[in-house]
Amino acid sequence: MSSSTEAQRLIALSLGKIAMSRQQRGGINLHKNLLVASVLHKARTTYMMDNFQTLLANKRAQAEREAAAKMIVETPCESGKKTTEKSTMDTSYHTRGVTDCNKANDTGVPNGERPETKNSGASDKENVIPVKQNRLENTINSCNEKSDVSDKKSSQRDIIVNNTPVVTGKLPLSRNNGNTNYVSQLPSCRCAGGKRRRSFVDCDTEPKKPRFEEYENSDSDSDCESDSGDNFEQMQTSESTQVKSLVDIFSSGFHGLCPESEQSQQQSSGQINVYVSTDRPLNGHQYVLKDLSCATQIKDSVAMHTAIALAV
Amino acid sequence: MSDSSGMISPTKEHKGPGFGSKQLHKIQNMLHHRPRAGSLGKKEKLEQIQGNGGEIQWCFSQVKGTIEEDITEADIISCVEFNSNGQLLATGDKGGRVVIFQRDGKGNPQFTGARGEYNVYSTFQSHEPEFDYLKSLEIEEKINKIRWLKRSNPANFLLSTNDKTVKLWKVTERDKRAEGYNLKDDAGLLRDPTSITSLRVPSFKPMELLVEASPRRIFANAHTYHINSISVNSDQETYLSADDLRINLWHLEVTNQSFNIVDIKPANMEELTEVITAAEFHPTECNLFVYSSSKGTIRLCDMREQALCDKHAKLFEEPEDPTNRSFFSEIISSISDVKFSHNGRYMVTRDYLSVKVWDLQMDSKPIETFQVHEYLRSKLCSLYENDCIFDKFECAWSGNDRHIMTGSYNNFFRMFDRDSKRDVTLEASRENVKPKTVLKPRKVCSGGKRKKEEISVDCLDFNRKILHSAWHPQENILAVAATNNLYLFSSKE
Repeated sequence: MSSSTEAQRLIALSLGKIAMSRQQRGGINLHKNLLVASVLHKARTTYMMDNFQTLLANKRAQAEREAAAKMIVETPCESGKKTTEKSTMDTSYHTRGVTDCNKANDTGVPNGERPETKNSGASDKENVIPVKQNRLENTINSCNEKSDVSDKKSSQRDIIVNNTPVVTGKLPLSRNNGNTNYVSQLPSCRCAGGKRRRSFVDCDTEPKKPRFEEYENSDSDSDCESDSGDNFEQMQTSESTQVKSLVDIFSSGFHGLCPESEQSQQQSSGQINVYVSTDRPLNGHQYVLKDLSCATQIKDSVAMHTAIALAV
Repeated sequence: MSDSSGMISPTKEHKGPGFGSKQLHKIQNMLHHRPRAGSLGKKEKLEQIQGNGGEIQWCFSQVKGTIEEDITEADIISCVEFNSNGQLLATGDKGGRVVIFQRDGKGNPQFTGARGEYNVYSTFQSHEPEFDYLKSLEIEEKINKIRWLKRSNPANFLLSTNDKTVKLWKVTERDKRAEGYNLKDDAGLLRDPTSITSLRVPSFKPMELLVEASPRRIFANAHTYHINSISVNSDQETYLSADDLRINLWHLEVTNQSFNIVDIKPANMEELTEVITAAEFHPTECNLFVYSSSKGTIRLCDMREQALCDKHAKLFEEPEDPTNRSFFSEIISSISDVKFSHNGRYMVTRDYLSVKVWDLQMDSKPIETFQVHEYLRSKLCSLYENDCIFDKFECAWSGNDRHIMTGSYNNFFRMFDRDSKRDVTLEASRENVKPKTVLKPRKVCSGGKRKKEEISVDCLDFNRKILHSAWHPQENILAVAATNNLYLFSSKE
């Protein structure tokens, strides 16, 4: 078994264990979940490292696509808030992701956290990338985040869910082309990851467990944008994408982990949910959601909450 | 085998009733082991009886519990603990019950070598399942730990804990009844006080022994996370309770207050990297305690230094072996149990694959490391899948601190002789239930040719595991919990 497949299998296993722990009697076992989170982190890291080269190549191709897509979704408020990477990624994911997200919600996500995306619609067909590539692109983007922080363009907040490959069986299928597209909420994920990175030296230990204890579904990920100045390490995006996928799949499971999460969910139910994870409230952040199906743009700004979702 | 002082090891000596070997051995023991107060005579006699330098031959003694294949979850034993003189043995199970066994007094171990048997002394329901309405969480009634207090009056006291609440139980005997009251008539109704004209002093009449257990203190609402350890201080007045992130100090008389002495909860839970897995007070120094972490470190703390002992006095950590790094390195390095030796100079820690003996004076590395089931190292992925990698095994010292025992899978348990560096694998099984049957050493082969009598790693039953066990504080008697059965083993003599 290649290390990449092994890593994928471990990721799936770990996610399953974390989900199972919710049903266990006696509450969540903090110790066990912390250990599972550390395995999850290591597996993800390994997976990312293995695919680094491919990701790099895909990223270059994607950058061009994003540049084009960006023109459509740029809004004045967003300027200066996002890194180049983010925006390029956002636009590209946006187009792809929207479709997937909705589909994901239908198939993979029982309820609760719905990483909302805009429906990409027919116009995104050209931007739809094959399954594998999507995944790789996500990782590539995350890898390069660190290096490129000068994104001036603003783009709508894409909620991108990046389902872990191992969860293939349950992955949402794109409406458009039947590929499993991965949507990852990069901005928020990155944010949380960045903060995590700053927090401790030991990368190996993944403090994901505690995060999901206080899990909250924040409504804005604009915090991430503001962190454009931060040095996002390669891991962050991978973490965020993984976490996001985790959240998507087990969103119902997270219900009740954090008291506030229910509240947030209620707020966002029935609306376009912007899935955000951040650990510090920041001021004046705005994000834009673009619903391609109806060409509406929604602006909102909310306080950031702890990136609990990412914890897992 | 020979010790650092250069003296000849007793095992090399002629094992016979000769004058020279026994005397030499006796002297050697006195030099090696700091004698515990009051036990010097007993220990020496025991060594003499064994006559072979302390190598123990284990025999089956008793087994408690049902033979049925169908195991009720509530019957699974979750902790085993001898009291300070070994006369009482307490077990706690997942159903929240505590069963106390008492050693019957027949046979004087010192002279005849006949050991008394353990029989049920008392059973009571210690904890009930609870529901935390605020968090919508069920609180399990499983007994996580039992610790005895030293006996100071005819009653016995023990602390038992589940995930959230510690209780102090008083276990008393009643074998006399007062009779002769003339306050009630024959029917049992109270007589009219004005009709009583004489004073009759009741007298005590013997009755059948009645053992009563009553909860004397309930220490609740002090832990947000699951309690994993309790430890009574040598001052017998205070004790600590440890959960995943905090350690609290209690006074046995005070239930509405506890002091938080260790708090490793980070301000931002996202930054959490390790949790507390076990904690114990030093057996003689009332200001020292240790706690182990999920990262494989042990911290020794001195309560005299600060009220909040977040800063450790000593940090015991062995550098990680980079060749053994894998996805599961962190999990298998997590310490599941830490126990001080009886003399207080050493401590033993148990992680998933090994037991390590640490000298309190040296924090850079353990002085001894014993592999428990190294053949599982290549199976870590499967063990992760079936959750066995998260099993928390306990370890125990022998009374003379020379031996260490710990459990493994397939109902195997491992004994390590620190002096001879020899180890043996034994099995707790109903196949050898004839009393005084010497247990046959078992062997696991990890691959290649399987010899006769050996068990292959793939044939091990990972559902039958020995997580909890206890060693009699003075004698060579082992209490081993195998799922819902309690096995008692004693040494041959």
